[in-house]
Amino acid sequence: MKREQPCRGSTDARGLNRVVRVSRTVISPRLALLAQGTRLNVEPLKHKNNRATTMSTQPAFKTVFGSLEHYTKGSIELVTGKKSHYAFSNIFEVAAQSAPYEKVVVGLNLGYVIEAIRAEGTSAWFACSHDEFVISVDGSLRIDFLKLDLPPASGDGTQLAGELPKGRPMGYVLLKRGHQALLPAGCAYRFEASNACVLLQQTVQGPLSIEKWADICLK
Amino acid sequence: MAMLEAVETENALSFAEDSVAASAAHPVTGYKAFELGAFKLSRDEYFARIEWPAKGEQRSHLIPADAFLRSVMRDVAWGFFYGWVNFDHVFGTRNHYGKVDMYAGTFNGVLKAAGVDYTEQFETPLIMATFKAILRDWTNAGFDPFAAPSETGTAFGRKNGNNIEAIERFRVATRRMPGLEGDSPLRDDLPVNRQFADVAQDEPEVHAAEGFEGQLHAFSLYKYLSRSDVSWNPSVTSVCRTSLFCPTTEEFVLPIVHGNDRIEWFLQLSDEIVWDIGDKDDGNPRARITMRAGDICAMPADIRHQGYSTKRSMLLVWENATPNLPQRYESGELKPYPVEF
Repeated sequence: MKREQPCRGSTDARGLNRVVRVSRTVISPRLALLAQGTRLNVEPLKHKNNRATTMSTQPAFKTVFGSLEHYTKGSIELVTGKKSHYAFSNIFEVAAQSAPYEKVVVGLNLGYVIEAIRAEGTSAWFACSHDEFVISVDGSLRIDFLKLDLPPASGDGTQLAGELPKGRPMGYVLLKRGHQALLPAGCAYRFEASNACVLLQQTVQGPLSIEKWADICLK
Repeated sequence: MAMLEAVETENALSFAEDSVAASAAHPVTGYKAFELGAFKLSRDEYFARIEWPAKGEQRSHLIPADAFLRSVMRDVAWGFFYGWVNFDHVFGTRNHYGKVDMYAGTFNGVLKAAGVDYTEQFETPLIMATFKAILRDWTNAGFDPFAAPSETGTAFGRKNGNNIEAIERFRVATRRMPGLEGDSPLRDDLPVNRQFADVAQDEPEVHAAEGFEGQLHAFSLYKYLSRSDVSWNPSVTSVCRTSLFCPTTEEFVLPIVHGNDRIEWFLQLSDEIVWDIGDKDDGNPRARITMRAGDICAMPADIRHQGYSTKRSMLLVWENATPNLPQRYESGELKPYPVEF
């Protein structure tokens, strides 16, 4: 019972107990944490009750994002079945092997797709009859929008809008990593990236969608 | 989980509150016990106890109270979600979108073969009202079943207050994209989670031409996720017909083992999650998948999965909310995996 006392009741006690236990077992708490693969915060740990536990000697949490240059693909440890049924790929690896603005399908769900796109230089003008969305997962991007005089009335997925689509300029959006933009139905849009950038597009499978599962997936 | 059917569940809920079968508070532990059909649910200092009849005898199963409450929390918040929500290898629910099966042992190969399993179907409002009553009674002050273990207090011990605020969080129902006028709000009012303190908080620049104000829209998804105050809770951030992006932030263990009635996809946005994959019907292990930032993979329609995330991580869950999919997968019209190559 005595040993459990610090664990009971308050959230503070739980946090403190964890730190104390770690620093007792090894000489250097920092080494101990690294050995465990634990990443802890330098900031005081704020709990729901607004009291804080000081953890000032511990390294901060590092959030790991991928990029064209740095990504570490995961893995499948198979027990039974086929690896290919999981259609496992890495969007940075896909983008690294793609031509600029090639719309490579990395997720397919009964006609809906997620496309991984390497944005580099200026794209063609695209348009769509339904909403689409784009997220930059690595790098900076400009998107210009046109209110089309003749918006596409039907058709699934992204379409080419022609070299000089007729419409009024709606403005532009600047995205950085982790930013998401709406690509509204009936508008034309064009991407511009001075440095290679990786995009995720949420849309419907369309004439520009490229499937090459055997090249990108774990087998 | 903001699905169309979840909204209906919420509306119907008030009608069933009077039908919840609850006992008086236990004289020692202080907790109420509940009955739902032939199931009995009770808790003590450490465990939730589930009892059901099979082969002429009463059968029982214990789940640690903290794990049980985390599971009920998800099942309630998601309106019973898609398909099977296994609390563990024995107990869980299956959503029929209007009715819900509650089962014990039915999707455990050994228990099912022994004939000691039991399933009973309930109208969604009744099981929802009962689950909410259980959550309200069994969640003590200081325990947040939506939080990761290092963020909250203990679920154990005798009845000690409540935490209504934590279990009544407003569910995010996005129609098109958060931050649009009339749509779900951004999260500027919520603090950045301690484990996402290094995530950039700048928003994209939106320069609308004159006359097009409000028609262009962008927001920082990573900022939005860094401020999520709950773990393992897919919430819609973009809607392309019935294609739903439902990102969430993950820490510790997914409190349920999800067997979907359709294919879903995972895209790891940051850090790392390990997924245990098992057979949906009997629970036998099939694979263990490690996903790191940028990895995307399908969860076939014939498996169940449970994720492990040491650091709080960002995960994009991608769902197809088309209503008739369960029948199409069950009939064999659709294969359980998404592509053949």
